[in-house]
Amino acid sequence: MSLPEATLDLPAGQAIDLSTCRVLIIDDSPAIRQLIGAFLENAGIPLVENAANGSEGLAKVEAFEPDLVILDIVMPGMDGYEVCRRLRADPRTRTLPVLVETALDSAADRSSVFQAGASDVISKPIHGPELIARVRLQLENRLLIRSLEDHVKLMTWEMELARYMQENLLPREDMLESLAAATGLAIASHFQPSANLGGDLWSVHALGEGRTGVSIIDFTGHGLAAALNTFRLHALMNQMTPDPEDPAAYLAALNAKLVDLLPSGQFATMFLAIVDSRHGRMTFAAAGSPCPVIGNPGIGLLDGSGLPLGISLEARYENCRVPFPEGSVLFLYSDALTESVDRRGLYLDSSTLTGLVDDCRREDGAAKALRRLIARFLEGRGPVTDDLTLVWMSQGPLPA
Amino acid sequence: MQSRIQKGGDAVELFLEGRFTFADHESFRHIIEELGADAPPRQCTIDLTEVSYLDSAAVGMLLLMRERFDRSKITLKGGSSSVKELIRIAKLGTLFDIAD
Repeated sequence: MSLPEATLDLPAGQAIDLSTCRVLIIDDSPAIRQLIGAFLENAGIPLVENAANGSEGLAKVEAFEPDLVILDIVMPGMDGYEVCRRLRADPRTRTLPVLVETALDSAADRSSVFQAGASDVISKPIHGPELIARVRLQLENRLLIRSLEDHVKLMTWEMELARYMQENLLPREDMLESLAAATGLAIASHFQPSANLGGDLWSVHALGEGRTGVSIIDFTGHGLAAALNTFRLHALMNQMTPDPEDPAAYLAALNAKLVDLLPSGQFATMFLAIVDSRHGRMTFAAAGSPCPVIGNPGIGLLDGSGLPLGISLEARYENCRVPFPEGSVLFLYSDALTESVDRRGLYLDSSTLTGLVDDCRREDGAAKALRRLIARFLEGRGPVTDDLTLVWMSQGPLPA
Repeated sequence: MQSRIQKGGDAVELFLEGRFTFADHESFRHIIEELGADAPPRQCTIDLTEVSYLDSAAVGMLLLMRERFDRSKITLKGGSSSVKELIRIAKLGTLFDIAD
């Protein structure tokens, strides 16, 4: 499967319908207002309103909400300069196009008109075709900008919705609480996509008889494409329950599906741990995941190596079993943790990381331990630029 | 990332230098095109000795190359300790030949 090349298509020379555009004429001369109105109507712009002076004009801007103001400069009372300045000072009308028509036509006059905030200037006596050409230009710009703004608003809203949906893929707090009550395994997490959306996912399977599957997944890249992959994988994972004794078979099954689904060059790393709280042990399998830190009670790294998911049907995964008695902790993380540098330009190396986990596990409970770890990690470090996911597990006493 | 290609018969060597990341997506595509311009090379050595950092997108690009030249022997050579660690963790040894 090959990826499409990115292209950008813009409408070229398309005639834009101006019949819904609203134009306000502010001029003290009834004859000129009438003349301009006639030109506009001829050009297919029927929605026109009039004002005879500056203050009436500002009131009509408020009431009529024009797309364009045609403005005279020399008027009794508030003049055109002042109208212009007030329109520019108001955030609601800062970008409203203002076409000034004036008999003042020296270079200095024109430049003060632009300084006051006019979008364009046309000289009196008004020449119909020139007026319409300039009106059309301003209105077309206005419509294009508005449609871009609408588009950006829609995209922003949709991205927020998608982000909300992605957060809903993650294990729910109440589910984790009832799991802790049943197995004594407390789980705390931190999920922070680098953009609105990310390629990280973590997940919990309650497997019964005191057994819990916990996994962390990281798709290549970040942003929308990576996020869509997390939705796909989440759907796949919901259809399949891991065999508590054989997490490697689960990785192999997901791999087989992802090899078909993912385009070439995209893949996911994954670590799946199945904690057996009753027997005080853990079985895990890995697919190229950052090496998790374990304290059981000796502190060390587990082997996260394995061919990432989605690359090859030939991939083979292995089960490993380690003791996980009461008091043990396991810390899973995405590679943003070890790939971001501190202010001295240093990466978090494995001995610093195990030291950090060793220090934090003294805290009472998973949530406090993770909070301490995040605070200590962020100390002396700039913003993390990749998706960051952290999962901390502490095995407490088995409920009676 | 900087790159240099050295051709010798049906074997080519590709020297990479610097950080190899998603930002090199476009240029690495061109490299693959250039390497396969006449026919896929029988042997290709990617020299990573001067590569300081490799991200997951870069691994993806190596995989694209692996797929494009599916009959070629492709060797990943050298690399900083973090690059070698990534190659080990992702078990790229199952898809490429690895040399020091």
